Amino acid sequence: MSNSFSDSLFSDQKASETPIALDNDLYFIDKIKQGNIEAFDPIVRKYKERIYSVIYNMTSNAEDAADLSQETFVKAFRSISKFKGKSSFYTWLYRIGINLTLAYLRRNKFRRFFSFNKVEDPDGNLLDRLTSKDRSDHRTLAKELQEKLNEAIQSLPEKQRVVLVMHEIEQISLKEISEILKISSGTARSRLHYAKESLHEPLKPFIA
Amino acid sequence: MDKVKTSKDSVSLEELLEWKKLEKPDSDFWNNFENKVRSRTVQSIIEKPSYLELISKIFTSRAVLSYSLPSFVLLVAVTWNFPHLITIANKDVSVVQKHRPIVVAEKNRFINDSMFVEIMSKDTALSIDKQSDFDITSESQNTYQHDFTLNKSLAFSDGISLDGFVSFASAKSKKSNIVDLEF
Repeated sequence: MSNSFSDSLFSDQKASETPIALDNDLYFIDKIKQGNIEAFDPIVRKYKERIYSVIYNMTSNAEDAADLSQETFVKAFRSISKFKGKSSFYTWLYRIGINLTLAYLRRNKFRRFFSFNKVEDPDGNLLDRLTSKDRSDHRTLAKELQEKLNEAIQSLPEKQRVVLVMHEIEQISLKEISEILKISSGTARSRLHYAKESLHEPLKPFIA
Repeated sequence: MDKVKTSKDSVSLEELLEWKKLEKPDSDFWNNFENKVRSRTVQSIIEKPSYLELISKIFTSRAVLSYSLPSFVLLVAVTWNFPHLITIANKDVSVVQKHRPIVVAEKNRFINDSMFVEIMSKDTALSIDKQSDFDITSESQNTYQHDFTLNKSLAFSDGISLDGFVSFASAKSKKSNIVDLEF
């Protein structure tokens, strides 16, 4: 993995701002603890896409992901006094989001449906890479690929799914995943291995 | 990385998963997102926690978990040995009978009203016709006897086991309140 998650957090900022950015979390958290509600806005702005993305890929449902990611921030705000800085803030925030999502998935085990976001591949570059270029039915294929991918990921046990989503899609390092999920790196690695192994069969038509 | 390429033209699982990274919500979505979080956050501050949340908070708090067992043991011991103490401690106003220890009434919500106090017995064999000496006292030992009019009172000899209740009725609001006698 080329980028660790903490690096990727600040990929949209100038390199010179990176060292300050980590401290900024603590600065804003202190403000929030003192009762400044507005200090929570920069935190939401900074992490919203990442939190949403991991939840969306865990649920494959855009509406559920929106609701759960908002709930994640609300819960984080309400529990901010419990954040003692033992782990980094994003680790703590991710833990809240993941736990909420897992609880939601367990509650709704038997009444789930998909609701996909659009795929942004304007030039079709990725689809070209994934398929033979002479195929004319790109749109159909893109839709099919999205469905099969999501179905395959959702068929994974939750413990494997969360590691696969965080590592392969969100680019979070195994070390950071182990901190977020409070498991050992070895366990994270093994769950990732089994998850990938399980994905081979349903995605065979696209891989082979 | 576990490459799963099977031929020159095939793709890896990791490449397939790249596709997932391209699934994004519309830009409009993010415009509303922060507003929604802000309003839900503010709402969560204003909203009173539900009873369930409060109870769950109380029972999962470290202090309660640490002290619950000794407290429970203490409570059982005190209840066993001094039942009237527990009764007094839980109520705001008590009715004190002259001969017998304590009868407990509930709350002091009627204290500023003119009230009727009625003592009745569940045991129909007991007659309820004589005036009795009742005081209404709060936990702080204030006596409210003069705020009350005795409607009916019960006289009984020492040694009679009484199973009854006290009925309070506010003359103003006409609300009644029944409290078991505890002897």
